[in-house]
Amino acid sequence: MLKKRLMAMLMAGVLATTLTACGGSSSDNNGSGSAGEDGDIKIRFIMKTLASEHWQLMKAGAEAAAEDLGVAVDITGPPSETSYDEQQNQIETALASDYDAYCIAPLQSDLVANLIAGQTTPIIAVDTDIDAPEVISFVGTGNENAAKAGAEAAVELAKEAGWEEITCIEIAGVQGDATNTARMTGYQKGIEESGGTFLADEVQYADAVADKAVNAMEAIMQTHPEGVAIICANNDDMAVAAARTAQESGNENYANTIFLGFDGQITACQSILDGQLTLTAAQQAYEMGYMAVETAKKAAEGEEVDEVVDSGTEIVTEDNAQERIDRLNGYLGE
Amino acid sequence: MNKKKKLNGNSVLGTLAALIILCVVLTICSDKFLTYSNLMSVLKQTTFTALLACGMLLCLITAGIDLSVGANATFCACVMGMMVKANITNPVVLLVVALAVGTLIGLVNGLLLTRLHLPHPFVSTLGMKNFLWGASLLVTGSQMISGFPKGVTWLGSATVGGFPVSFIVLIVIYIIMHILLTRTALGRSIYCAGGNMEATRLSGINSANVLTFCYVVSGFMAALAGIVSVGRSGICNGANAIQPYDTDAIASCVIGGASFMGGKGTMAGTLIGALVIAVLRNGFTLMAIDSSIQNMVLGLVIIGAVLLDVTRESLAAKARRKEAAAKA
Repeated sequence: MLKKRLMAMLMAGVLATTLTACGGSSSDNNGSGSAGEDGDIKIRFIMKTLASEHWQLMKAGAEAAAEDLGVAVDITGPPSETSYDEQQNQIETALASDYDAYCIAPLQSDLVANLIAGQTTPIIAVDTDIDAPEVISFVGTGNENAAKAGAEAAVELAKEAGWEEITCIEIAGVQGDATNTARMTGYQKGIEESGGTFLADEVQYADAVADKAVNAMEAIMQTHPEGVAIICANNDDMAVAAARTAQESGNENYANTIFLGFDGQITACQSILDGQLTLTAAQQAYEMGYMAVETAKKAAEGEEVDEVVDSGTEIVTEDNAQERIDRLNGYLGE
Repeated sequence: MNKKKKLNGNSVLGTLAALIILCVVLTICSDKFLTYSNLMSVLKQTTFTALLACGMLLCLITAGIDLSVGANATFCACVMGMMVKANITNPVVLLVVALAVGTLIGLVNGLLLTRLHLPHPFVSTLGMKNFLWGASLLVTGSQMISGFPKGVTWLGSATVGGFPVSFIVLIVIYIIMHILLTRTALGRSIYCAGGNMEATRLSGINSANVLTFCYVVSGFMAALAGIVSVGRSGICNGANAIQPYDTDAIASCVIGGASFMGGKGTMAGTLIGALVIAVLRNGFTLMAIDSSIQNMVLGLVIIGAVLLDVTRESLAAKARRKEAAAKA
C-alpha cells in the first residue's frame, strides 16, 4: 500500500515538474511578452496561430517593431489554423480589455467582422482582409495575389524548361478553408492568364499534410504517366513531399516538372537548393508583422494611415533561396 | 471456444469480401487502379495506418482505447527532426531514440491507467494527445524539418522490385502479433482482460501488467509509424500531430471486427480493415473526388461496418438463446 502511494506521489511529482518546465519554456517562447517596457501605447495582436514558421516570423517582426517604436505588443494565437472557436474567444476577451489598437489576422473574416461591429478603437486586419467599416487598414498581400504571382513565375519557368503544353495540377489543402480557397483561386488565375491550362477537375485535396500529398502525387503520376508541367501545392510541406515523391519514382517524364510551393519556409528553400522543389511563393511574414505594428501605432496616435499596406511577395527560386534562408534564420534568432 | 473461433473467422471473411468488392468496383471505375505501381502505392499507404491500428487493436481488445497514437507517431518523427537539426545524423541513434520515446509514452499511458487508476484511457490518452501535439511543436520550434539521413528514411521509402519494404515489415509484425494473441498465455490474458476485468484478476492474472503491456506495444507501433511517415514524406511537422490519424486506426480495427466493448478483434481482420481504408482513399485520389464526398463515404463505411457487426452479434445471441431453450 505504502509502495503504491509512494509510486503515485512520485509520478504526480514528475508530471508536475514536467508541466511547470514546459509551461516555463513555452511562455519564454510564445511569450505574450510586452516588448517596449514603458511604452504608453498598448497594442493587441491576435494571429491565426503561432504553430508554424509563417506566424513565428510574423511574431518576430511584430516584436522587433515594438522594440524599435517603443510600444507594448501582446501577441497570442489559437493552437491551429482551424481553431475557429478559440480565436473567437481570444478576440472577444481582447476587445473587452483596454488596448489602444488591435491587429487581427482573422481565421474567418466574416465572423470577425461581426465581433468587431461598433468598436471605436483602431482595428487593423493582417494577412487576411476583414470587410468591415471598423477596420481602418489592411496589412498584407493576400493569399490570392501571392499565389497568382507564384503561378505566373512557374509558367515562365515551365516554358524555359521546354514544356510546350503547360498543364497544371494542384495539390490543395483543407477543402472549405478560406486560405485554401484564396490560394487556389490565385493559382488558377495566374496559370490561365499566362497561357497555361489549370486542370480544375483534378485538384487533389491533401489536407495540407505531407503524407497525404505523397499519396496525391502517386495518384497524379498514375493518371498522367506522360508528365505534367506544373504541380502547385498550397503549402511547402505538401510541395516538398510531392517533389520528393516524383524524384524518387524515377519517372523521367517528371524530371522537368515545375514544383511550386507556398510560404517560403526555410526547409523549402533548402529543398530548392537541393534540386527538388523548383520555387515557392512567399508572403513576407516578418515585414507583415512589423508593418502591422507600425500602422497600429500610427492609428493609435490618431495619424492617417493607408487603407492598404502592401507587405510584398517574394518568389523564391534557386537564385535567392540561400539569401532567404540566411535572412529568416537571422529573424528567428538562430 | 470452437464456436467463438468460427465466429471470428466469419467476420474476417466478411471484411475480405467487402475489400474484394471494393477493388472490383474501383477497377471498373478507374483503369488506373489495377496496375502494379498503383497497388504498390496502396500498400505503402496502408502501412502507416496499419501500424497504428496494430497497437490500437490491443487496447480495444482490453476494452480500452489509445487516442494518442497519431500524436505519438508525429512526436517521434519530430524528436528525430530535432536531433537532425542539432546535427545528430547517425541513423542508428535517431531510430533507437525514436523507438524509445514512443515506447516510453506508451508506458506512461499504461501506468496512468493501471497505477494511477485514471478512470478510462479515453481521458488520459486524449490528454496525452494534446500534450504531445504541443511537445511536437515545441521540439521543432514550430518548423517543418527535412534532411533526414538515408538510414532513417530507408524503412519508409525502400522497395524490393517495387514492393515496399515497410509493408514486408508490417506483415512480419502482424504475424508475430497474431501468434502472440492466439497462441500464448499473454495473448489469452489480453482477451480475458477485455471480457471481464474482475474475473481476470480473480483467476490470478496480473491484469494491470497485461494492460500496461498493451499500451507499451501501442506506443512502440506509433514510433514505428512515425519512422515510416518520415521515410515517405521526407519531412516532419509538429502541426500534423492533431491530424485524425487515430480515427483511421480505430476505423481499421472496427471494420476488421473489433468492438469497443472489448474481447473481440483479430490481427487479420485489422489488416484487411486498414487495406479497405487505404483502397478507398486511393480510389478517391485516383478519381480526384472532393474531400466532402470522401469524408461522407468514409463515415458511412465506418457506420456500416459497426452496424454489420452489431447485427451479426445479435443474430448469434438469438441463436444461442434458441439453442439454450431447445436444451431446456
